[in-house]
Amino acid sequence: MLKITMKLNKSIQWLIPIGILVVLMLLWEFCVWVTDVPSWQLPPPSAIIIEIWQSFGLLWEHTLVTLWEILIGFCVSLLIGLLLAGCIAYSQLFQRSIYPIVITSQTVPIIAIAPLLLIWVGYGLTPKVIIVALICFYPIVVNSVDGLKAIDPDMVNMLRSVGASKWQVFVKLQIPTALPFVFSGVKIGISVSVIAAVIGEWVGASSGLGYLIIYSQPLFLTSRVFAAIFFLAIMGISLFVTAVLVERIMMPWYFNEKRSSAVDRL
Amino acid sequence: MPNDMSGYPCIEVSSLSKSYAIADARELILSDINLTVNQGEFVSIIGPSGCGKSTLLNIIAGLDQADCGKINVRGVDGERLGKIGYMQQKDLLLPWRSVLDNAAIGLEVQGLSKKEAREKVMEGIDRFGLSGFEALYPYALSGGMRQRVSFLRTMIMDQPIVLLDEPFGALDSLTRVQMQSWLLEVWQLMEKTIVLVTHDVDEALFLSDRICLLSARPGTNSDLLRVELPRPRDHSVLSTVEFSEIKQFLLSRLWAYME
Repeated sequence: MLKITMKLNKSIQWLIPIGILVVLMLLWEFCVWVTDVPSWQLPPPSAIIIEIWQSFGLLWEHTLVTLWEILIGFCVSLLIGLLLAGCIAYSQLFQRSIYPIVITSQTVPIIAIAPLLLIWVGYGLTPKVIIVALICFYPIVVNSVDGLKAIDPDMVNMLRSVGASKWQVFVKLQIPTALPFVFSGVKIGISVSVIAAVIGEWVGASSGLGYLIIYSQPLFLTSRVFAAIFFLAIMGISLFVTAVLVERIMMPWYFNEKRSSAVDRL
Repeated sequence: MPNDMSGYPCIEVSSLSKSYAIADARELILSDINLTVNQGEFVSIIGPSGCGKSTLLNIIAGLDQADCGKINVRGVDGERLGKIGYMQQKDLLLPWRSVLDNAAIGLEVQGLSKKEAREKVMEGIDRFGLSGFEALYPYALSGGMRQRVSFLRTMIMDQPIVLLDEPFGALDSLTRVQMQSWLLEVWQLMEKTIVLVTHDVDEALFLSDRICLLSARPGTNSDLLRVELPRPRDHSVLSTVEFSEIKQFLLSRLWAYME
């Protein structure tokens, strides 16, 4: 009985936000209909849905471009971020010399750097990848450094007492300890990666959803702008959900532990 | 040094001292410790809190270095890490490993493949009362069960010497009594040399051949008490007259140290 109510609760949890969204859409539709706002100023949801239906091929083509920029940029930032975090966590020299630079780098607005990248590396894929990587790598580095330093010294002693080498301590203790922290960084990074890609495309591009928005706006193809925004939102959500899924697959123990302690608190 | 035990000296600690830098001063923790533990013997170290019991075990295990003094283990004064079983007070189970893999980690570190290590653990899991639990993760276990896994992890390494640092300190008294009897069984069956640190007088008396008393900081040992209780022992020994007498004696020595 308890199980059934819990299951019901879970489906209701999903239904509530969807329901609210539907109600808001209907309200939007109604307001546009009542006030008679021209479609180029504010298209009703129905017009956006029709636009998505009609230009799905076009939107999909540009979606793939943006997605590609994000995926490459994110992988680059993950690689560099983890390497840097390892260096910072292990070497006092890196901690003192590189870490402050990493932190300072985030005070420089990336949008301000974007035009420079255009001058240096042109209009292609590269400047977008660089911008995505620049924005994503920061949360990954900061969280991973914290994670690598979060080891329990008693655990280290336990491993040393059975004869573990430094490398074995790193592989068997330090990496698994850092993993939840790394994933926090990854989830923040992947959330902002979409913004980064759009900025990159705004500064100069010939394809991608950001480009589509910039291109459609002066033509007053407002419903197409909305359609592109819709695709960006879906992309962002999908990327985040993927990160969460990978996290759950890689650390089942972490979530079971959290769940069981939550049950204990009840 | 009493030498009426059968078996040859297994651990020999001689004139060992250790100090730590605390704030600006150096504080002496252990001073001139001398201790010999013979092959197959069960020796407890008991003393007031802060007397350096755990530090002494850490040094014997090889995790910490003494300032001066010598430690010979089976006649050799060399690297001891990985050659002595050491179980700490905390169970120190890795949350991402199942019972089976937690118990196997020492074997893995020593170079066994994951499969070999697991197979070896499975051979011993029954004796430690953990069969049926091997796939569970630490969060799903009670304190007593977690301690058993920690025990299995230490014992499965097959080291002839095992150091135990208040292994039952975190357990409720019923579980503790149960675990003590069980430890005696394991010790007799596996013929280990065991050094146990505890602050529980009953525990020390019930388990040990000899008890080493450490004074308050800086810890130094002047007393080695032989426990003349017949073996094999069970908990009925706790209510005998002999037990009370020897306990009375031990307590009076301890109180003398604490003043």
